[in-house]
Amino acid sequence: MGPRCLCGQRLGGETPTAGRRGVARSCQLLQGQERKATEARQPVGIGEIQDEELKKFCFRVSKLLQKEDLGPDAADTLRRLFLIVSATKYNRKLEKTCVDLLQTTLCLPTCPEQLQLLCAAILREMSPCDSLSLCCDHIQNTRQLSLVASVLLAQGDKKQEVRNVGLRVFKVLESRQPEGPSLRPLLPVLSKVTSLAPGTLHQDQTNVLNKRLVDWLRYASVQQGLVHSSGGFFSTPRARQPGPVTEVDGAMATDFFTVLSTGQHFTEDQWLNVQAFSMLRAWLLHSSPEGTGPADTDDRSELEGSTLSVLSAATSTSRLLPPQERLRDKAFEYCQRLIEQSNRRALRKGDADLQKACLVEAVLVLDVLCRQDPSFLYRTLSCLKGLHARLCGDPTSVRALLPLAQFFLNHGEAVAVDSEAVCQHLFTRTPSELFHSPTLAFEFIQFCRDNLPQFGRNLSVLKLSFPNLFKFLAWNSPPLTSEFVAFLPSLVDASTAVEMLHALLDLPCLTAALDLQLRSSPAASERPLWDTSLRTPSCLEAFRDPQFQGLFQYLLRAKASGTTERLAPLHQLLQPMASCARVVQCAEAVPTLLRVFFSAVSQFTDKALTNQLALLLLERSDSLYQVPGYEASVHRVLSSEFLALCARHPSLVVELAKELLEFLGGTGGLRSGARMLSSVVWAVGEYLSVCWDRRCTVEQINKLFEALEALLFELAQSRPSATLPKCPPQVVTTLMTTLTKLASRSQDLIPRVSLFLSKMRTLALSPAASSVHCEEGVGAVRRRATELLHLLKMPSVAQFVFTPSVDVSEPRYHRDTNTALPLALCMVSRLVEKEAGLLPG
Amino acid sequence: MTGVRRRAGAAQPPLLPCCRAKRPVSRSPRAQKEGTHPGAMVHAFLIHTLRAPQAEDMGLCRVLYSCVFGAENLPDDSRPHGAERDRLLRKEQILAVARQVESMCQLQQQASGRPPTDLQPQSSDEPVPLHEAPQGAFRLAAGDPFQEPRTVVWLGVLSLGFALVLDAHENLLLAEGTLRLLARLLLDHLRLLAPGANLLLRADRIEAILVRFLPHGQLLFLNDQFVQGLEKEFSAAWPR
Repeated sequence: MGPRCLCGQRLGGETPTAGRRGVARSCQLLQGQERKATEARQPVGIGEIQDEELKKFCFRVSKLLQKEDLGPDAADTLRRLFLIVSATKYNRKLEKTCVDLLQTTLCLPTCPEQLQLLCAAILREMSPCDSLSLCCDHIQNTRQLSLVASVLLAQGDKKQEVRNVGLRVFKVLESRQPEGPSLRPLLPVLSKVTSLAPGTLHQDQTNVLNKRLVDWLRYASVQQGLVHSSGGFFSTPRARQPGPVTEVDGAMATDFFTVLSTGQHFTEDQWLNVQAFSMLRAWLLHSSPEGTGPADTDDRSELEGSTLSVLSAATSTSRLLPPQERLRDKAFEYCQRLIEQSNRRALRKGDADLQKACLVEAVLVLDVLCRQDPSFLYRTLSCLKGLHARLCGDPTSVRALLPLAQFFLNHGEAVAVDSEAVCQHLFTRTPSELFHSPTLAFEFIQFCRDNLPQFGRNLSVLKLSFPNLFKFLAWNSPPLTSEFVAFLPSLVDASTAVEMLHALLDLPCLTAALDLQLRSSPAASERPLWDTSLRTPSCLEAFRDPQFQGLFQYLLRAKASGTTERLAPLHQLLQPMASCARVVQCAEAVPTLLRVFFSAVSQFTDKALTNQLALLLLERSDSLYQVPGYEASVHRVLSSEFLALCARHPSLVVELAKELLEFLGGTGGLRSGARMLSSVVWAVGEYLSVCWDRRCTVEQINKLFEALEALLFELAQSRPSATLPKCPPQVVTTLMTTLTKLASRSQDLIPRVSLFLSKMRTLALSPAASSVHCEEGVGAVRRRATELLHLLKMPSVAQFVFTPSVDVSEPRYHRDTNTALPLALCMVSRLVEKEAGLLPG
Repeated sequence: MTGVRRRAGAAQPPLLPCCRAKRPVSRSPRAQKEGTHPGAMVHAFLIHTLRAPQAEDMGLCRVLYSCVFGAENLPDDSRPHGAERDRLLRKEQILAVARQVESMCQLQQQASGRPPTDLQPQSSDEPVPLHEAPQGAFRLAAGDPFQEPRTVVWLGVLSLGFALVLDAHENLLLAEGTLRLLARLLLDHLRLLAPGANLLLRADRIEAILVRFLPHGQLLFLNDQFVQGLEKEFSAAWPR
């Protein structure tokens, strides 16, 4: 599909997206128009040639359009012109005569549909266009008016095009003779106009339209349309009536016509019925400018109060109502009828799908009605309660449960109905059963996210359901990650934080378990999209093994359980699935989510929770599902978050000294990777001090010192081995610094650490060291050891440098010339450098 | 490097910083829902290429056809070439959607273990099983790339992606149905997947289908008989 063959040999120009020079270019272009002139037409040579060719082509188009008889040649040329205009993101300068002719042709009463469509499409593609002279004021043909409107509405409303189109369309609508042109092309225009500029129509005009909508919605013919010849698109010939319309199950229609009424052919007013319902919700929202409840009360007080409207609505004397209320009344009846009709067994698949979409729409419209006029609440409620009961037993209509839940959330309080049951059902069953449906997953999470303020008392139901909501995320991570980034902070609170952190770390494991659940479920006939190339018999067996049932059940739980299970055995079992694409995708989302989690948690953590989370980080850093690349990226987050926790509550290092000792003393520290290890070691050096917590004892310092000494010794001696990952020099230098810091606080340790540091320095010089670390690493170790040794020679300086008092961070220290920190640091570094310069090596 | 590593959006260049700058001040979800534009229409429809994950070096994601219904109200721009800039912005917005859809579709294909050969056009004239085609939805936050928050519903059919850009609170179920219907009609009436089918030079046909089934971006509640009626009428007016 090369551009040459598309545009014909005459136009070898730009490719469909013309994007070779890419977004970067266009950004520059958008930022400064000065660049535009020079860059947009580069390379200049090609640009000129194209301009020349385009001129010729425009000339040809103009010639063809001026002909009396607009034949297939014209259509062919216009198609090419459309491609030329649409294929580039930069403006195509068309000849003025050509643009004018396109507009004239579009408005020609005799112009065939094909050419009109093409002219409109080209003009729309050029828009916004400053030189447009198109005007819709005199167009009578509704189809033409609709096309002209599409061009005008694309202009961006710089010259009030939207308003003009709206008024013209309304005028045609209003003045329509019963036998006049079809209104079908006009309603969507009106709908678009009201959505682009809601205030376009006056109250009177809105009322006229309200009345019209009532007629179309409620009083469309219940007789089928005629078999009409293949005449024009909107022709409505009249002949014999071929019988009444039917319901979707084939039964004779029991009541008025709706979008769920079928027949062989449809009448004009039935078409308008479809369009009226399609635009109803948006119209209701836009046509009552003040919108919701309270603002409406003024309106109604003029109409003798709301009691009357309740009564009148109940007693079908609604013809007396003002147009807007009457429309609401009819809309209510329409929705009720749709709900009734959607319970019928559709004969065609398409109709079954439409039933579900209609249910959703009906509930959404009812919600709007009740928000605008609370007097609908009681009638709606009884209807929707029944619907809810019906839907709970019907897994295929699950999508309608979301707007239904939304309704109960919005209005439950007003009518003293507890929405809890609805929410419970929704959050417990739906995600576990239908996590694999991508659009449901999206809609479900969007529902949760958008309705957070409405959840009220049910917020706890939502929060406790996070394990279920995570199933959507685990299965559909690419589209849902950004949703969860926005949504997660509202989901987490102090009581679930620990469990949620575990769940986040185990998210890829959950993906694997969900895959197994799908594969082993009996209803696998629905065929959700899963990886059939993946063969994991051992995993499936394990999934069914009673020994692991408990763990799998825990992993796949629907609600927060308040407990945490160690899933390490599952990590082993599910290892064969760790490299499958879905698991890898999920694993890629986890680091981002962890960061969001920690930033949310930092808003409310107390000391106890911080300690808990810090311990959890230590524990989980060496207990992760082994997905390629997962551990490294998670460690990056965990190590920095560990430091953030320490910075927020420095005394946690003293409080958790025993646990830290275990972590550093055991093999956990080594296994959990260099990043985590150096963070912990650094935190010990930084915060294990009386200035952060008076409870810090010499014994604690000595014990940790010994553990770190042993660790460093082990690292320094170790040869690269297969079992332990290679230790980067950063860990070694951090260890040395921390040992020195601790020694500066418990000065009995200074001789020991000095000895050790000189050993490290010699060790770093030995040829064996360079086999462990690279050249640069060896240098860093040696340099650090030397510096630290010098500092230790002056214990009081060392203490000042390594354990600065808390108020060092105060501004005074950076301003006061006598105590200025930079001054002190400068002196220290001079000392260190000088000493280093005096010493050999 | 396998294509798996690529996250949606991650591999894309930062999009139009100028759009981000126009992001409206943050609004509560409620306010978004009931703002001046609660919106319940389609903002745009597009058809674009879908490449197999391995074939990413084979050119760019291309928008083959797009139609924007109406225009976003952009803040007044007194600088010269305002119209040109607006148009460029619209084109970039559509391209951004196409790229994201492509990326989502590839990720879904990988996750479901579909062989990439599935993306290759088939030469046979058999109908494509649309119910098995990868599909999905995702949200575009306000300001990125559109001013208002939008939802994108997409459908991948072999090497073609179809997408609707919706106002944030449109009936998603109806939108999915409409998108499947449009895809089916376009595949049938334009024989898009047949060899030599030239989508780019048949915009008139696409327009004719949209005018009937998605007029001005209005999603229609069409039951089976209405669809058949419209389709018959279309076939009569536009013989293959």
